Amino acid sequence: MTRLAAHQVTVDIGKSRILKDVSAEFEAGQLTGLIGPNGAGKSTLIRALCNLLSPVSGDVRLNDRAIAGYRRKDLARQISYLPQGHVMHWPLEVERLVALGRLPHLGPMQSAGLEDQAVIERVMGRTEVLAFRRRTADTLSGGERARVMLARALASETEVLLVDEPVASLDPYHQLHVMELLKSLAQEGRLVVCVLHDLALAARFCDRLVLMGQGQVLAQGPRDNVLSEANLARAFSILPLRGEHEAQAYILPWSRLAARETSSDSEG
Amino acid sequence: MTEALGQARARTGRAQQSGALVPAGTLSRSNWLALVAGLITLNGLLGCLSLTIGYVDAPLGDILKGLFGYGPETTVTIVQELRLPRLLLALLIGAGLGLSGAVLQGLLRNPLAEPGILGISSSASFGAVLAIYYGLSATFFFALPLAAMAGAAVATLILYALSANNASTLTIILSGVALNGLAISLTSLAMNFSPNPYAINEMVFWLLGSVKDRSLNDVALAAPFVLFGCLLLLVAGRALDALTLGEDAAQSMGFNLRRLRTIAIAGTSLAVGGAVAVSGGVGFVGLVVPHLMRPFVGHVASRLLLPSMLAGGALVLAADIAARLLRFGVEIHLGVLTSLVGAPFFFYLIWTMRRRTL
Repeated sequence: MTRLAAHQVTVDIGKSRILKDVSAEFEAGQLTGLIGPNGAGKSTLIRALCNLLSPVSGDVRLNDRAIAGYRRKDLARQISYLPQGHVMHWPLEVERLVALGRLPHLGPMQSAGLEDQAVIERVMGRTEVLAFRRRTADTLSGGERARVMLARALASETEVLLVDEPVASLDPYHQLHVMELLKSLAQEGRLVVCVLHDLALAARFCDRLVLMGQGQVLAQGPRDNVLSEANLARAFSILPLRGEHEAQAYILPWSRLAARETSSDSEG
Repeated sequence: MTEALGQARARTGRAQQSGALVPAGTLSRSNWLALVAGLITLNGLLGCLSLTIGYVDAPLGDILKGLFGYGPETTVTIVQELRLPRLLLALLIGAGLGLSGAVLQGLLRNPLAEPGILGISSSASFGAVLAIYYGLSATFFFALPLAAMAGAAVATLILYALSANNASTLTIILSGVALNGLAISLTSLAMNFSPNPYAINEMVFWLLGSVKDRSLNDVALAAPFVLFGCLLLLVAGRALDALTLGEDAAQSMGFNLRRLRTIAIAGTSLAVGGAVAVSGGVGFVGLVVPHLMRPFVGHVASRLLLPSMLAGGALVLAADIAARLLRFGVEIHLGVLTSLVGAPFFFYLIWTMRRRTL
């Protein structure tokens, strides 16, 4: 059973302390949402979880072994990371973009083989991008682009999937589609961590939540515990609207409590 | 709500349908090999053509014999001492510049990146000019290419430092323009102060570039550096593929970006420095060539590198042949021709980038 954990992780970027003594645990088979206001340190934590940032103190452990001790390629075969913004610098064909996800499994001079191609086909089918596999990246809509990038991350066939704001700027239909995909991946036994701004989606899809604020973990655990009035007031200064639909509780941000000092940090 | 969902689905469906009407070119491994073989053949044909063109006309048979030291002595001398060095240098310079352009564009994720536009070539020229006019090149054989490489390396490092902080395309290009201007003015200043009475005439060579009147010594001077630089750059392909998805994604896929930067900067400095040391700054080759090749390789960086290297050689060779054929009283400088073709292409790229949605 794959386990990923941050132990008292402190991260500085430049002269600013972005994460302070953050400890959080993530388990396989669960979709964990990382929520919090802008500048809370969510993206920094997710980057530290895949060794893109080195903590000044504390460590991140994958299956009880420090990730800093893994070889780059070995780590890439276990953790895939999907950054926010769906960056694509060249207008590659969709299929070729997805195929980039196989790079961690290929040697320096090795080309993708039949097995790799089978994986690419499978993940393209799963993310429903087969219909436009020959189109180039610059012709894709936001929803198509999000699914293609998710397919790229899935093509690495890793046990851990770290996703930063996968539904930002997507319409509701595609938001639900991407969240359903992440949920089903978790249900198959993968460890999925997802940065989210949308509390309604977090409450609807996530099994566990980690609530962050000002570089610290304010609460973590089952979603209903984390999304308490007190936690939401403390982290976001909001009052939620709660209800129930089809035997499931839902939550909507409803009103502001009072003017609070907002962080201008765009790091998320 | 159902209606909204239906509309959303219809929208996606329409997008998919319209996409199906615009199939992008795909490239299998065998097609890629055919492209490479085609480019090698093109280089061979242009090479033969290049050997036959000059002030003295000689039959192709004599020229080919002359290449191996047989036949009339004059032809042997002309072929081995004038035309062959010119041919080899054109190939070397073109290969180095074409490949450097492809790697720089991938590394900086910028379609306008090119050794000439970014001031790398002119910085290399400045290094070479310092070495020549202040006597360093007389001290040991490789001082000239080493000085040119040092100039290229400084420029590449400055540009990389700027691009590493997520600088926009515009910032990088403007920095290149500033670097280029600075290097050109410093080159001119160095030549103004030099004791050489022909300095002003030679300035044209360093700023525009040419492979005229070069010897096999020049080939020996440049070849080790350009070839080693090309070898280094050719191994960068995989990491550049990953870099298509941005630095974080590339790193998370197991690529060591520090190593990639070192390879790219060292390779570019070697290839451009080595080329510029014997030919001056031949502009726009590194810009045009990767863009010509990209549609053939589906924008995949690792598949772009070798074709860019070969096409770079072919382009400079073709430009050198054209420079010899188009005589308006005097022979046109190679760099003038490449700039005449490259600069309008640069305009075209800027125009298309304005509408790019990526």
